[in-house]
Amino acid sequence: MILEAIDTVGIKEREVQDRDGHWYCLRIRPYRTADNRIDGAMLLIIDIDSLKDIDRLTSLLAEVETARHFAEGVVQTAPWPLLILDRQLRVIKVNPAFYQVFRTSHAETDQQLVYALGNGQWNIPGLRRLLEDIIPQNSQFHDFEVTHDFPHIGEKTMRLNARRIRRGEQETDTILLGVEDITEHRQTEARIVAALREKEVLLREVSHRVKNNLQVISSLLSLQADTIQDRHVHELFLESQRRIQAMAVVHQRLYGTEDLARTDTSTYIQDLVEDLARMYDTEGRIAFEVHADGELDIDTAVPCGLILTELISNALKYAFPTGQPGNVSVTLRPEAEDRWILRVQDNGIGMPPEIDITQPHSLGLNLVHDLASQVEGSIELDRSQGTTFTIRFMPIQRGKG
Amino acid sequence: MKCSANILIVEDERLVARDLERRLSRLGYTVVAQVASGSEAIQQTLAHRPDLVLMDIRLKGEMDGIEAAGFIRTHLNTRVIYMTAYVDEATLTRAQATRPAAFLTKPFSESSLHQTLQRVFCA
Repeated sequence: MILEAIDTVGIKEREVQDRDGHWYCLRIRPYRTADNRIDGAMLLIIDIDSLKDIDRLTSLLAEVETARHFAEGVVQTAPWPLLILDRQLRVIKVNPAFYQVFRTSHAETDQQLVYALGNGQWNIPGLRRLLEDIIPQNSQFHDFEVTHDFPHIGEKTMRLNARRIRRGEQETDTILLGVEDITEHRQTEARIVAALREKEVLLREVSHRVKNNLQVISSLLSLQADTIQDRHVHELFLESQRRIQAMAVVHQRLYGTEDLARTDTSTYIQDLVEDLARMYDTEGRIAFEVHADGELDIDTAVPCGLILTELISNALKYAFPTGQPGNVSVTLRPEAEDRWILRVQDNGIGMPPEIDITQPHSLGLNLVHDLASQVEGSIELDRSQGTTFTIRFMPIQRGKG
Repeated sequence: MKCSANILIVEDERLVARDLERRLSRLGYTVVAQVASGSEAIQQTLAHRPDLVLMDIRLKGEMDGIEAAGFIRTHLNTRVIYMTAYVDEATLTRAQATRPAAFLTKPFSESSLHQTLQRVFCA
């Protein structure tokens, strides 16, 4: 640089920093002797560190200005009302959304105490305490809800959020208060809850009617049975009643549950077995074992209940003909992913070999066959020790909603 | 074991009431009357002084079975068994406050009717 200054006979200038970061202006000018000869260079070092500070401040100011514009832009364009309050909770500024939502004007708002706005509509003790604590305690609050009959706009629910905006000194700190009209949101929520409750009441009503009608059907069968002298025919009517009872048990279980479309198999099967044990008066003679868990949709639970009713009835009627003691084990549970197992096992005399379950003659086994195919199940019969019926099936998958 | 007792049936489904009456007489009980509303239930309990009222919860008319049963239990000191298809929590709590002798859930089999009555009368 020095050589360049000498060669060009011009002044060179550059801002430089020393090791500590201190700024200087380095000015190099050629040294001209008395006889007008260039005989070297003169270096002038001027301390300009304080000038550099001003530069920094200028760019900082520009940054601050940008930030302020940005914040101002956000406040102005925010679709929900925003208020800026001073320490005394006086309104410094509100955004256009505030005027729009509360149908008020600049004159009614500016420099007013927040409590005085709109005939004191914000003069709520709980809110007052929250707002007054914000600056001294550097606190903020979220989602404070106010339901109030506001002038011009009627009864509304507003959700308030507020926080302190620091300005260095506490005296000049401000509060940013955001107001959101959630009236419609709340109304929609209430409507949904009411609709849901109505639906539940309706479902319970339907469920009640189903059960009531099952009772009427059961009574009709029983009244008809009473007119029949033939013991065999009479027994057939009683069997029909048992089948209706099995359906009623599912509805009973559904009725008590939260989800009106699904039933918990463990209590369901327990009830079913107890009912059958009572109807066949097996007390003390037959020991029951129940292995049931998981939940089934009603469309699967009803056929499963009917299948179990037929198979358990068969075991109780035929497996122990001399009134000997015995065991009946009942299973209804998931076996593998998506696949369930239904099993009725007795340790009685075993089903006679001439009965072909693929072409059954009794109504009971025909029903088992039909209902198993309804749930897309496969039937297996094992007569090696007593009688064991096993049905494996895929429960009906029904989308919710 | 057969036990005898006088029973009033309160049931608004006439078919169910008729079936119930036959079953009860077969089991050795006497049915003093069948009625379909709460107010009739109170009148007939006064008139016949039965040993037991078999009471449906949902009935025709202003008064439901629980209200009628409450009156019968407190003022006429007569035992009540509820028969109902309707058993949500709130109803159950209301019904239990009237201290019934038992609950029968509809539809019920003859054997559970028999066992329930035996427990009430022969225990």
